[in-house]
Amino acid sequence: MPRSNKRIWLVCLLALLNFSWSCSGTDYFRLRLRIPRRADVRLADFDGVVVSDFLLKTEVESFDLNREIRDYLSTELAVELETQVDLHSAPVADESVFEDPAFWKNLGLDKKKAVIFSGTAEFSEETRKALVRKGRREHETPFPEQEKMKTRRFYTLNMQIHIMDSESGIRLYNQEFKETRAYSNPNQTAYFAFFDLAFQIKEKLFREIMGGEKIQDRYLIIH
Amino acid sequence: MNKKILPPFIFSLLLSMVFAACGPATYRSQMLFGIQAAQSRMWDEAIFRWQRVLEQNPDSAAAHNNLAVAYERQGRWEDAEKEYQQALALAPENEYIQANLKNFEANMQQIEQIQRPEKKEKKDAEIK
Repeated sequence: MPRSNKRIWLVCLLALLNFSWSCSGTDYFRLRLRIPRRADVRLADFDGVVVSDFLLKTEVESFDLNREIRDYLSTELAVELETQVDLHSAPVADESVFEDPAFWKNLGLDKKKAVIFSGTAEFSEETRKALVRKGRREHETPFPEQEKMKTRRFYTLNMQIHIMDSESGIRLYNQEFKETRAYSNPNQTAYFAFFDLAFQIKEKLFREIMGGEKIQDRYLIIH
Repeated sequence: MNKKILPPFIFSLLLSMVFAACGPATYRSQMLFGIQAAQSRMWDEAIFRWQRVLEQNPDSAAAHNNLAVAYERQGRWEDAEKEYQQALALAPENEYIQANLKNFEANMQQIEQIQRPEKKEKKDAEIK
């Protein structure tokens, strides 16, 4: 075969390789996406937001739990929704009220179609003591190991949040949140711990009712 | 470059371009373009590309799957579910479609579990 012909074939072969390369490759691409979560309650459909009283399962001696929850929730909702949040006093006698549309329908609110936040709350504190032994180290002295009495204060906030439609009185949302936190400081106050726990519950609640985003993997495929 | 080599080189290059523009390669290039758009967060462009693929290849499980991902990213849940179901019907053994659908359904189920009691109450109230 003449030399020039060889070159022609070589070029053709390279073109063919180029074509076949363009048709090969991976079958899939993995993408890490921010998938929007569907909001459980469409707050935009309502004229106003109202925070009502909470039913307390146990009273807290050091502060007014109902008032603190109402104030905290209304402030946080106002910031998040960039709207005015009203406080309404409607003492809840028992849990059956949350399933009674007539109660929420006849609250006498200023706004016709408002979303009402209410629920139950329980705040508890517990002190746990334990003997803690220091871990044995190498070249330990012959003296006996020291054991220390350690104290931890545990605080638990258990809230059942109910969201009602003031127009129909129907419950739109119902979810329980429980948060516990331990403090090594023996002088930790219940009032301070309450705000730590309320913040954690608020984060979870807002994520559920207002949507938000979730990072997940998805596969895009070619064939 | 040698003058004798130049004409066949140009010819073969044109030939490869013609091949590249024909059927399966068009499909592939549109799919890849869509994927590149998706990787650049240009989801509308990606949707446009994959919809074009489906116009020519309605039985493309990959295009249905990719469209479902794009719809899911945009929060168009009903469209996403429809596309995932079509993709899985066309390629039931495809592990990537299965994985995507599994994650999608898990997200949807989470919402259903929360909303189920309320839906029942709403229905009861409507009946009353």
